[in-house]
Amino acid sequence: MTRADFYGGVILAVFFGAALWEGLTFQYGTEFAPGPGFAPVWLSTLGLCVSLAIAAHGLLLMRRTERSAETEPPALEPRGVARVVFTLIGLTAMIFVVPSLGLALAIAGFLLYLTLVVQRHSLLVAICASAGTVVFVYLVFVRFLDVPVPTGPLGF
Amino acid sequence: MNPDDLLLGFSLAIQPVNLLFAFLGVLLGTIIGALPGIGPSAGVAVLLPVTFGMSPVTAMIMLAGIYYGAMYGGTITSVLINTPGESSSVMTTLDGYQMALKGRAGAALGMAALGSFIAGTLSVVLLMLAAPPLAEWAVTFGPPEYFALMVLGLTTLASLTSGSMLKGLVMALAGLLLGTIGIDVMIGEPRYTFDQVELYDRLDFLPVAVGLFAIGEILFNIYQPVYTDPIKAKLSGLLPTRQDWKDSWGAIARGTVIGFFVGTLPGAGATIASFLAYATERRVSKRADKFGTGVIEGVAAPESANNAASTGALVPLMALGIPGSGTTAVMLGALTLYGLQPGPLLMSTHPEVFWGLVASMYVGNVMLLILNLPLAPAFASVLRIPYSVLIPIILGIALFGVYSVENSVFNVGVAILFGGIGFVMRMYAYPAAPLVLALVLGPMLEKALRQSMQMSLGSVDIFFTRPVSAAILIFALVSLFYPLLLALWARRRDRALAGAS
Amino acid sequence: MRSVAFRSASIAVAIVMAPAAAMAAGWKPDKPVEFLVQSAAGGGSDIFARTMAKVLADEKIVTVPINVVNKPGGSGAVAYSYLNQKKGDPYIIATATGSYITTPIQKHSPVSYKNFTNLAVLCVEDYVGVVRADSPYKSLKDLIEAAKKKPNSVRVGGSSVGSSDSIIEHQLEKATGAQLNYIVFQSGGEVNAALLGGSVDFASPNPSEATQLVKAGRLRPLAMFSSERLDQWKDVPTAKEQGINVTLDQFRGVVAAGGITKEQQAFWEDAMRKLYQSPGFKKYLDDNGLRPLLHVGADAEKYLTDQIAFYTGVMTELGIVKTKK
Repeated sequence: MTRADFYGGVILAVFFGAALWEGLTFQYGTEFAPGPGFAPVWLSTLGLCVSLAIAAHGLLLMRRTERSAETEPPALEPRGVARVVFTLIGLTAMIFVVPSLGLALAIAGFLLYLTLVVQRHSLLVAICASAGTVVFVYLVFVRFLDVPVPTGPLGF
Repeated sequence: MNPDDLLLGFSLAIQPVNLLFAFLGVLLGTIIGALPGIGPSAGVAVLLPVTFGMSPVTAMIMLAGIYYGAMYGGTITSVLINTPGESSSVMTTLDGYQMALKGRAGAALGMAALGSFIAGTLSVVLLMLAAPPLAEWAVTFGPPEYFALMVLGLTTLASLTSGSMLKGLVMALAGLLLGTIGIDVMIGEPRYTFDQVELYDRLDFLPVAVGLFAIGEILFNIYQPVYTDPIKAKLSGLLPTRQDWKDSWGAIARGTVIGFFVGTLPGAGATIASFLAYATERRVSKRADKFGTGVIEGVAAPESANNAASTGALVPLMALGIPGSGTTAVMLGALTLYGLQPGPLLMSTHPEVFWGLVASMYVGNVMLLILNLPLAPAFASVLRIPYSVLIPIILGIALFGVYSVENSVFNVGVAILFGGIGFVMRMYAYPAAPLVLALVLGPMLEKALRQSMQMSLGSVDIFFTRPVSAAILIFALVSLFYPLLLALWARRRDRALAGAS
Repeated sequence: MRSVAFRSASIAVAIVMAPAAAMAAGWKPDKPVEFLVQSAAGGGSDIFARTMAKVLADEKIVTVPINVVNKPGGSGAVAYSYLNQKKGDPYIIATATGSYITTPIQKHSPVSYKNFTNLAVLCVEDYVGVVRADSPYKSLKDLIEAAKKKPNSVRVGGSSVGSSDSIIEHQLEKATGAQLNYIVFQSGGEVNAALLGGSVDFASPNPSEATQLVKAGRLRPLAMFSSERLDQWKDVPTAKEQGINVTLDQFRGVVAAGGITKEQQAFWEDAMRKLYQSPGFKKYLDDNGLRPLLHVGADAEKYLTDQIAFYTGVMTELGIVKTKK
């Protein structure tokens, strides 16, 4: 996974770099002790170094594999990636409808979408799994343990 | 200890009403522990009003039952669906879930129940015999000692990393950095909060763990449906075997000792205890390289430790009136509500509370074993459902659970975000465990460092002049370099042998 | 004495007000009420809320179910932001204590008391200065002298900057010119452990947190930071008596969402008055070492404004309140 390591290292380096940039604005020390900025600055500096090392390592291996004509590990399976992306889109959409639909309905809706659209289960399995799960957790968390959840138009 | 006291305790514990509430407590605790999100402290607080009409002894018996019952329950979802019920069960997921994938979920759950029973019972013995002196020992742990303990914890992170050391290291650093999010407790400066009030109080640990472990795993399965074979074994085949016991008893013993003593420290807790127990086991094991692939001692050690820690946390509570964990803090409040004054005098002014509780814990642990051992194969049978049908069920439970940690939709978003990140990490072999554990250790480490430096007015000598802190630090260094030294030594010996022949 | 007179006066007020309010109001909750708590389950505010919910129900002051809801985080910022979204909703009330005013002063919350209906202040908590029983300091003076002789040699434990402990410490420094070494811990329990274990020399817990350790001879009280001696701590002089003018207490109260109608406000204010008179609430105060104090409605708002003026002053001196970048 050499090419992936290179890009992974670069992405991590950007993350730690940004954290360092922001961390430098915190107060570094107090009169005697490290301040709120101490840990962020050192951790992100170290993180930056290690991520660059990962990237460099990946680059090195990339050169070497090109020469030796070794194959890269199997490429991503596009249909699998699509399924994951659709799941994540569904999860994100769920978050946005919680305030209007309530938590239980939003999760039920997402699970139906997941089982029908992404997993392509039969309608019966999809409805049983989604509704069954939500009814079960709703009874346990809300009815039994009194967890207060955002409610929807139907009162749950 | 006066034998009459224990007799008094048992005479209280075996009263039908107390037996009943001990049973209710451990049963509810098991359920609460199994549910991700609702932890023992929230569970105890929610059920507190139920105890208002009871006598203080009965009430404490029930609340303690919930507490240690939750430690048993936390195993169930960790093993079956890679979703830690509490932060103290995260370590259990590493080998427990791998065992489940191999069709050995029943053995993992059964051994966890057995280990928890042994750890729970031995810790009650320690609690009974030595609570006051142990509490005195626990409070001598000041910031420098906690700092040393957290450093020891950090060095063991290395032992969680399989594969690339660099990737393990970078994940640990990312976890430590994520741990700095929130308003700084010392001087109140907001760090990486981006004006989101939900981030002011730190990134919650459980949404991150559930995201990386459970949701990440689900996404990976959606990407590449691998585990299509549901288990088909008979119920009897789902219990631990003789070999499992041989592999585990040492881990249980060490887990108990580590868990109990770390549990008595007011600034450490069950999570650190389970973590140190797992790392220790990996250190001493002959098959260290197999850890993380589903070895049973990797389940037995942290599960024994977190149970022992929950009993250990009662030591400072009962002997000094100082809570050793979030849950015992709620129990402290409860004692006050019953009109008792928790403190050093409680054991002499209200012996019935302490001794009734101790005796009930012997009984309660037996109840938990009877409850959990037969349930282990039953729960494991959940995995007879095809994985693709389990996916929506797991997601539904995980999402509700994450919400209930702080009743916050924001946390659900955090879990989803980390689910996505966890999927990518899984694809490219970045380990999740170091990140999650660094997220727990980081804030404690930073706090202890800054407190210590403030105590010493800026001198680092404080870590080396205090004997306990110095000893732990030296031990941490040795344990970090020990494998390296061992390797060097082995190479020299090989060379010497080669030269001789 | 004064407090007795005050209490009987407020009983009289309650008796006069109650029927009048009930008649004029006409509004009564007819569905479950949410009781919001700004801290985690099991903390002081949580116990306050759960006890109140129980008393309100037992005494039939509120006849609909009251559900306690914890929204911890950001020293109250999370809970009060949530309450602010409920503008005009009379079916939610919330606990309030020091963080209700100190978090907005630190600009760590987008909302402040002005966004809400401030129903009532119901009690205050005091603070007592304590050292280990084997400590060389026999009085607050001893401690201050030692700190003056060798600056930073006396370690004081407390919770985060901006908390009551830190304000007491700051006031001690300001009143005496001594320099203390303040070390931040996460909770009262950790401070007590650090004090017993010798990591710190002095702390200022609530009397209820210290009672048992003092009785057991493990801690020695040096001074009360109240304006007068407390009934249950008759032998402990106030700091003022020892010539060090430092007093501090912290209120507990109840607030509702902003923009509720006059009738709805009257119902809740009336409920608070009735609660204050109930034996169940009195028992809660006694068990937790709290001092009764009642301010309702406009009175409560005035009390809060005074507190804010005081805290803003101290916290500016402490350097916690900065102009935002």
